[in-house]
Amino acid sequence: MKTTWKILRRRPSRIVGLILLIFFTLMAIFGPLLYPNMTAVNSQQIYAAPSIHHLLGTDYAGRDIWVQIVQGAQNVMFVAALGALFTIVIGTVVGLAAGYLGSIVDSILMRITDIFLTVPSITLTIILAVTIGLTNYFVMAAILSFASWGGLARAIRSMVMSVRERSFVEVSLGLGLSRARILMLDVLPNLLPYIIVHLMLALTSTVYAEVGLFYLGVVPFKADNWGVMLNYATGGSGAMYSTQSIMFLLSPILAIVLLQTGIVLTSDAVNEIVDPRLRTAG
Amino acid sequence: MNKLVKRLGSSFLIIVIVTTMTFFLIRLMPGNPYQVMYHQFLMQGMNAQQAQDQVRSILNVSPNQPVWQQFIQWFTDLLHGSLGTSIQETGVPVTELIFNALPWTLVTVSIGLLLSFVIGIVLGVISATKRNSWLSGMIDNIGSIAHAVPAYVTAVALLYLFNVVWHIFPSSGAYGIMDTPGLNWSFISSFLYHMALPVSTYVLTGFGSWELAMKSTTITVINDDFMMAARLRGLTRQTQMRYLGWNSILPLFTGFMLSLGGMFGGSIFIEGTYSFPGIGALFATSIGSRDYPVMEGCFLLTTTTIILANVIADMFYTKLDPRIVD
Repeated sequence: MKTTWKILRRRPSRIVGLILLIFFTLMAIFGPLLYPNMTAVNSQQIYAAPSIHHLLGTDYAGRDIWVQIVQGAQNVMFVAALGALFTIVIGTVVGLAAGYLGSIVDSILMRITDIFLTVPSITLTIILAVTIGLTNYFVMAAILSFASWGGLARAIRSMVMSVRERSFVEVSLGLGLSRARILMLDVLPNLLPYIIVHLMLALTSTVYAEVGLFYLGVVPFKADNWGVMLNYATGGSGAMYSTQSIMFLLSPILAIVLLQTGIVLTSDAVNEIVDPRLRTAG
Repeated sequence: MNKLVKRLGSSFLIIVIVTTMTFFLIRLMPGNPYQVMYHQFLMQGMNAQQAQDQVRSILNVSPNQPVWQQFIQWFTDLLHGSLGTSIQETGVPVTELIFNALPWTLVTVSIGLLLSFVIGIVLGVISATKRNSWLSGMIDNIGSIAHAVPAYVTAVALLYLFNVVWHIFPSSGAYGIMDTPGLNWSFISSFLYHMALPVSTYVLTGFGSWELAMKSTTITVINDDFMMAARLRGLTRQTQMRYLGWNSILPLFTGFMLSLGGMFGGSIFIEGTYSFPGIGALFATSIGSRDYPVMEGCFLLTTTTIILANVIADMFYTKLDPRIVD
């Protein structure tokens, strides 16, 4: 705990990142409790300026922008977290199996991984999203992780292969411990720092793809999402071309940028916390 | 040589598998355009046979044919070098649409990739040599944030600033309406003017990953024995930097080719935002209008490009860095 605080304090940007991330997480958890209902359309209040009643002003139909951002946060954050988790789990399991079991399992799994690595992942994700439809959080997360686990599986596999040759694994083998036990207690802990750092990276790319799908406008707008807002702001509502409606354009942009900044800056600290070799004196 | 043949063979197999899978995936999308047209003709009072013939004569596909038969037809056409005809722009061959769009994407993506690579390399070396200073931390943070911010957000922000607020750059198209594409100055200058924003977006979203990669390889190389030897031999700083630079860039070259795939993915968002008539925009609109043949064509093209780029990267890599023998 003490080291964590020390690492955070060494670069103020890390504290900023953590605060941002916590802010958006809280927004995602408590937002729906704060604002359970859709905001009402109010034709008297179209593109109203920010005020006490409307923190970020209102959109083209007179709806409160701040409430929309808060309600969108749940969708964005939950799917991003779930998608990143799926990516990590698939990548780790495939990598561990290929690296540790070797021979036929390895070559089959690696051929499959090769295919997923070479297919343009955004394109595949879009096709999948349109075909299957983003019906609920789990389906969305599964689609987003479907094309993105290849790199991790590759890296995990090669790391397993090098860890497998290390002496402590040999000792465990000599002691007659089971393969599953060696895999879980000897090999996996050595890969954990890398997996955790990759989890943070996967978070940013899931947010990227998820919001992007809605921004492109190829999937039906069933969910509250910042991408939907961005789509309306740049497209149909014409909010982009007037200075009066700037808040409607700026709010989703700021939300996405701040969330990604928070994840990146936090991952900078996480990187150092999980990998002591990166820590430098002072 | 034998290895190359083997490699190309397996690449070909991957391309076939992937395009086959996407063919069926695309046919499962809700909103079948063949059926839409068929039902339109039915509603106009044709009987089933007439409507089917009509659709067949317009789109060259029977609306009620099973998907596997459609696939066989598509695949034989493909072997004859045809990707079919577009549904949205009825009768226009998909190859024509793609070859009209490809040059725009190719030029902007290459320039964007090159610029972001150079900027990333320079910043990466600075960050690595000034390690543990505030400058290094700042460069790293800016690089990774610029990389994490989605391309469409950067694109929208640039568009708003440089088009809506300051009226400096145009908002759409690849060249002015008065110009004809060709080797004349007015077209080239207009093209450069129109691609300023898309290219800037590629650069802004791309340089960060190069910076981080370059930094980590540079740090590894800087502590290598031969760098120590170079210092001890009293080589000039310039020569040392040349050693350092060349050896750190080497591992990035594979990534350079691999990133082409990511750039094509980004082009869907970037070209969509700037209404730039490239492959990305073509793909995005074809999804919106369920233009099956165009979608398949674009997917086939990007997949093939990426896989070939991989093969080329591997070949060059062993040539560039003889330490690697696979």
